[in-house]
Amino acid sequence: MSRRKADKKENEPEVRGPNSALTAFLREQGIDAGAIRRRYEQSLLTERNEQTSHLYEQEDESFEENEIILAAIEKRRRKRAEANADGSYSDSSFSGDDLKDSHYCMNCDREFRITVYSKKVEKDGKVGYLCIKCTRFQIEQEGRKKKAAFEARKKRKKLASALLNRQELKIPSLQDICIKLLSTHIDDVHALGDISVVSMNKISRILSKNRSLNNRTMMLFLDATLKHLEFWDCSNIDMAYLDKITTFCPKLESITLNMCGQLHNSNLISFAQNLLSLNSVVLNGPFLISEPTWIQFFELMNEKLRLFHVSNTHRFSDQCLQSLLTNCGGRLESLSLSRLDGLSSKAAYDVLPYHLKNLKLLDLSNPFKENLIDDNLIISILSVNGGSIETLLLDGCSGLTDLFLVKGVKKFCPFLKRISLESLDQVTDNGFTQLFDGWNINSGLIEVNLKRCSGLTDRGLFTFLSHSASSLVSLNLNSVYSLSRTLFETLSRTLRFPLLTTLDLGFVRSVDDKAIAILSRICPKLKELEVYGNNRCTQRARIRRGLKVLGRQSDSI
Amino acid sequence: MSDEEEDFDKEEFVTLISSDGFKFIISKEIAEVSGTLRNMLGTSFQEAESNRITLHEIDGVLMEKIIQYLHYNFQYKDQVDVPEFDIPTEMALELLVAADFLDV
Amino acid sequence: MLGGNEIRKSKIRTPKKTFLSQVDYEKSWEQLDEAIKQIYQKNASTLSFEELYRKTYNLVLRKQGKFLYDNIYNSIKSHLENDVQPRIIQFMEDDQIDKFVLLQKMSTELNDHLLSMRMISDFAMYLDRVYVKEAHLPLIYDTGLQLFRDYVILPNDNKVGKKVIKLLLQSIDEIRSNKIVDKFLIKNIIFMFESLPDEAGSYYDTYVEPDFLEDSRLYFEKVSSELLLEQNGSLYISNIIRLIEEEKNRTALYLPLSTLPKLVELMDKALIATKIETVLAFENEGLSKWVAEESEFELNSLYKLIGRIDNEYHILRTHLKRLLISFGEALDDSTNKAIADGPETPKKKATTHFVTIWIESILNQRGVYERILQNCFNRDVNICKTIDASFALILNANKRISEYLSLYIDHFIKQSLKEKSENESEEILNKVVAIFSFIHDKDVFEKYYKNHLAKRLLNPKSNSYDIERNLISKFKSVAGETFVSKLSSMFRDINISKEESKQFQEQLQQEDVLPLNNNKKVSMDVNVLTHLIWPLPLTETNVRFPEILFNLKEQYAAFYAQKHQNRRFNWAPNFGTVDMRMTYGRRTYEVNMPTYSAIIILALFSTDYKAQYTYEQIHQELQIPENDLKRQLLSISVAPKTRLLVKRPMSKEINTEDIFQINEKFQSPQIKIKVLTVSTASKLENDQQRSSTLTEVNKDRKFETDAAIVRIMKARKTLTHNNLMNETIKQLANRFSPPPSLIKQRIESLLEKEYMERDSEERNLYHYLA
Repeated sequence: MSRRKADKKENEPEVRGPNSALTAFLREQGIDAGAIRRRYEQSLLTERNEQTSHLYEQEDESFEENEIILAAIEKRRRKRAEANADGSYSDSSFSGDDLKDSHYCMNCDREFRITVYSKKVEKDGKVGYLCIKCTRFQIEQEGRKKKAAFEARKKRKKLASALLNRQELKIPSLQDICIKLLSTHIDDVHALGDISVVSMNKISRILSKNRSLNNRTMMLFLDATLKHLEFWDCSNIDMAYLDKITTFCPKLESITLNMCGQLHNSNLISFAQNLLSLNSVVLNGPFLISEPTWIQFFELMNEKLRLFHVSNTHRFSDQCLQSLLTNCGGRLESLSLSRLDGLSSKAAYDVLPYHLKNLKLLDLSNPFKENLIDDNLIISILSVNGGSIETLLLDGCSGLTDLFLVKGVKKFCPFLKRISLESLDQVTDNGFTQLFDGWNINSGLIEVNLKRCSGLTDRGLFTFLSHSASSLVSLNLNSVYSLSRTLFETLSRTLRFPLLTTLDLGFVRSVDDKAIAILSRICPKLKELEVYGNNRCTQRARIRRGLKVLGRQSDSI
Repeated sequence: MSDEEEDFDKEEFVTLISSDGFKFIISKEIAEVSGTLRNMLGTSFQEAESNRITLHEIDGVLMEKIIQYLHYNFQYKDQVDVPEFDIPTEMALELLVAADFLDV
Repeated sequence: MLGGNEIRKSKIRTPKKTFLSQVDYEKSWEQLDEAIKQIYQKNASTLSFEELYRKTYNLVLRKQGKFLYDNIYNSIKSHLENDVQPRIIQFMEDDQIDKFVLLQKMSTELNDHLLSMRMISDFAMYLDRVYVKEAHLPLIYDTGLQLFRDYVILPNDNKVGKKVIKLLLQSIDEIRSNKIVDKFLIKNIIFMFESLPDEAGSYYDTYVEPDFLEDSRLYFEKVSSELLLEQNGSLYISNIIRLIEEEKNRTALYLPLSTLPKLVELMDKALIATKIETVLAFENEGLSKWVAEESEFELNSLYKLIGRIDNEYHILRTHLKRLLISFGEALDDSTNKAIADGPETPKKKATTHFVTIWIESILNQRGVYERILQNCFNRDVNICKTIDASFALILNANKRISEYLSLYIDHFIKQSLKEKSENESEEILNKVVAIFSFIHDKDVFEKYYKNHLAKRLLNPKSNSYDIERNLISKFKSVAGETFVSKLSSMFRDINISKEESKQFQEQLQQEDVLPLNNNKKVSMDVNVLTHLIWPLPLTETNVRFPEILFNLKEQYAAFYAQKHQNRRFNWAPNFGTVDMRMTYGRRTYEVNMPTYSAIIILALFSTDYKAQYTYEQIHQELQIPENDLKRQLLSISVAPKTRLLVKRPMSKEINTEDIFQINEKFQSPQIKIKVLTVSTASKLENDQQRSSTLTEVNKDRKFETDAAIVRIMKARKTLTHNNLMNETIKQLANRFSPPPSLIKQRIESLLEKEYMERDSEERNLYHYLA
């Protein structure tokens, strides 16, 4: 457009296509037949400069475009020079003409000869050209700028993907580099030697993640002095090697085996018989263990088990639980029974309060059926274990109502620190206000998960937060739909969360930029804030440095 | 120990001495990539006074690699395109321990 | 067969593994413990960080973290318990020691401890990094701070802490009473308390801040109570402003940022919120005096102070309102007093004088508040509203405000205008219009204003015309087009009449039929007034005009009829004046007199100046209404300066038998004489007149209400009773506030007249009938 306008200005009235300047230029260069050229030759001498500068006036928008045009001009000119080798016209007369009209560089103020490559700039309201040196510099700078912009875009992309993976874009530590290297070359490792527990666990986890924890690599972690053993993926360790744990680590006190589908009946019995100090057992997915074996195991472990966590096996039956309780119940401090489809009778659960006395942790999440776990059961358990209980995980126990909070938790749990109530849709504001209003025996919860507790609204939440604001470290309010902006505004005025580090507000639609800004201010230690599905959260939210906001649409790559 | 390293500006450089007696003189800024060295130089213990740190558990070969890493980390921090840091595989375990010791 | 001790060629070298025994651990710890002691002795430079670090590293690596942590804990604890605490207690109990020395000592002790802890936690960093993190324990450094709190500050029921806080508060009090105190020391001590952790906060938050705030509260209460005893608001205000400023400056150096807002809140409460009411009410140097004297500093300060505690200024507004209302209540008395105290003038007793003073007092007061709002209250919207509302209240409390104001304007235009400059009069007009805007019953005002305006228009004074127009446009901007439409029409009549009189005059000249009287030219201006607009009674009179006037009248009538067809023409000789030259003896006077007087003189005496007539004869002859006749005769025969006629017998009343003749002996020092009709000047109405005015107003209100209801119904077609009531009130608000009973009555009447009907089912619903 600008080009066309410029044409008109220069008294060239006919309508032209986009390359009109070029054709005009070429025509006036005398590319046509020699006769025409001769006729024009005289006028050309005076017009040329004007024409050149005119051409440049037209090209202030895109440098690249100019380069193409200039290249074309250059090419044709060379052709023409060849064609007119015998003609009277030559490049030298051309450039000699340039000398008449010398310019002063807009940048360095030096006198120079203008060429088709000279860069046009605007400075202090004046329009002029740069000398060859400055032009080159200018072009280089523009290139750098472009490159920088490209780099920045790349960096943003990387940051966005890192954010999504919850990684920080940092140079890996030398330890991590070594560990990574070791994990890939684990077959070349003979023994790990004097490395720190932290490094050892890291290696073990990476191996599990890579599915390269196997019969051989497993051996690297076994040590006669070892007291705690954690394997995060045992699916490649077979029965015989699982047995080696007992021989190589006789002092083992706790054992954690994830994905232990290869754990045979004999392995478990061997643990019980040979690991004399064993008191903590965490087994995820031990589906080969049969009912009689479980019962035998508990009998062998009589009164020794302090911690027993089992999940993901349908063979853990009502009788198994009964055996666990009668043999080990009295000393159990931590009990987790999660996703056990074999536990299907309410009677089996109902005896829990009669055996458990010293629980610090109780996890009954995701029972086979909703009605297996009811308010009365939890209330009775808490009435016996309230004095010691610190962690209560009841995710998916959707048969529970406000009652267990008011009659159980409030009354018996002074030391409760962590509670998880995911998907308890019968819990309402009434329960929460009654529980937290004046709950003076408890000095504040540390970790709370209320994901999908859809019965809760501002009122209940506010009472809870008023109670635990100063102690909360982690809070999950994902999909607590009814929370409104008012809650955040009220919090802004009234509460501070000095320790809160992670907060999940995914799918709480009222969360917007303002709410994020408020949270960023009132939670000075907040590191991660999740806002997935809240489309009113944008890049514009004012947040503190060091706070990662995850799940904004604007952050996606 | 000779006095030659005394010529260096004490404010900016520090001498690291490996278990087998190799001396490495590096700028403090780079040494402080390591948390352990940072603390050593930051308080008024012997090392901070003398600007000499003897690392009794790290030999010269490892030390050299570690110093390479310190430079690498210093050079590429806050950058996106970071080349891999190359480690000879056979050194990995020893280096891991040393890195743990130096908090890098 | 693979096994633990299986030998396999490995590419990756395994670090050497050393086995250490419990004995080795104990030995390592002994060395570390010794190093900690050296650190306490400030001998760190003799220690090798690397060695200490290596020892902790190895201990932690061999899973001796707990062993090490517990040992460090106990070592620090015993140092604090056995060395530091006794030293401090000993110091504390020595009464000889100056408190600043003691505070200094305390600060030094903590700083030393912090430094030692920094060094210990530095070399024990691997313990922090690995074991402490895993075991969820406080970091070594934080543990050190906790231990300091638990074994130095808190033991024996917070003995040391209490003592230091006490000394600290004493020192702060000393700063407040302008003694020289090392503020940096205070800052250090507060910083010390801040750095000691406590349940979800710091020791400072739990113990120091509450005491500090309470101490501050007592201090401010004391200072402000003492100040209040002076019973002097100006003194109080200037002092607390200084106090607040000083306190802010004082505490800026040492007070934690988190406490400052609490302190400010405390000051606002103790110095302003609980006291300002008392201050405002002070008779001497209180609000009433400041307003009366327009004390800008005090009022502005007051505004700022109250703004700190209440950004809607409720207290201030309540008091301003009270002040204005009491001003309003006292206004009649104060006006009377002003008149009594004023100079003795003939007008002194006149009701208009009272009204003028009354309105002027209001205008002055308004001016005072305008200036205060502008200069001191930053034109705060809420305060403006309150002041306006209060003015409206006191104005409308006077039932005769409309009449007062109209009268004042009348007086102003007729009398005071010439004494004022253009700017001054503009200013007064603005104030007048402001007052007008406060009047609720604007229709009543219109009634009075129309009367007064009619008189002024028919009897114009020089340059008043611009002022009148100006005023009308101002009224228009306040009350809208409809309010001034009748007033504007009055202007139009006058304008057209002027124009037509001019034409008439020209026509007469051209036709050369100018009636002659003693060969003197006669000219005439006629004002043609639209009957319904002007507030003048339409009286059919059979007054017999003298020939010369009769001729003029007929000619004008012909002239007018030629221009406008189908208009009825009624002469109102009871208005207007006639200028005549009259010769008494040797002197000729120019006499301006009402038309009736001229008729009397021209008709009866122009041919025979010795003629004598009785009152009865005059009445019979001229058919002038009796009331007017009597008044005219009084003017020209009894009034001392204008006795153009002689009345016999001479008395102050006109009786039917009285005889009149030309007063041949008439003499006057002036050549120009004006015959004043008795009571042409505007006056306050008496009660009877007023009630008749109000009756008229009420009649008009009925029409206006009817019109409003019909307008609304026409637009809305169907409306409930309540909505109709509300709409009507809204529509009429600009004119007057209609009582609901009136609207109900008008609705009934309109229902009867079938302008609208009730809904057949819902009695409360009305439908408009076209």
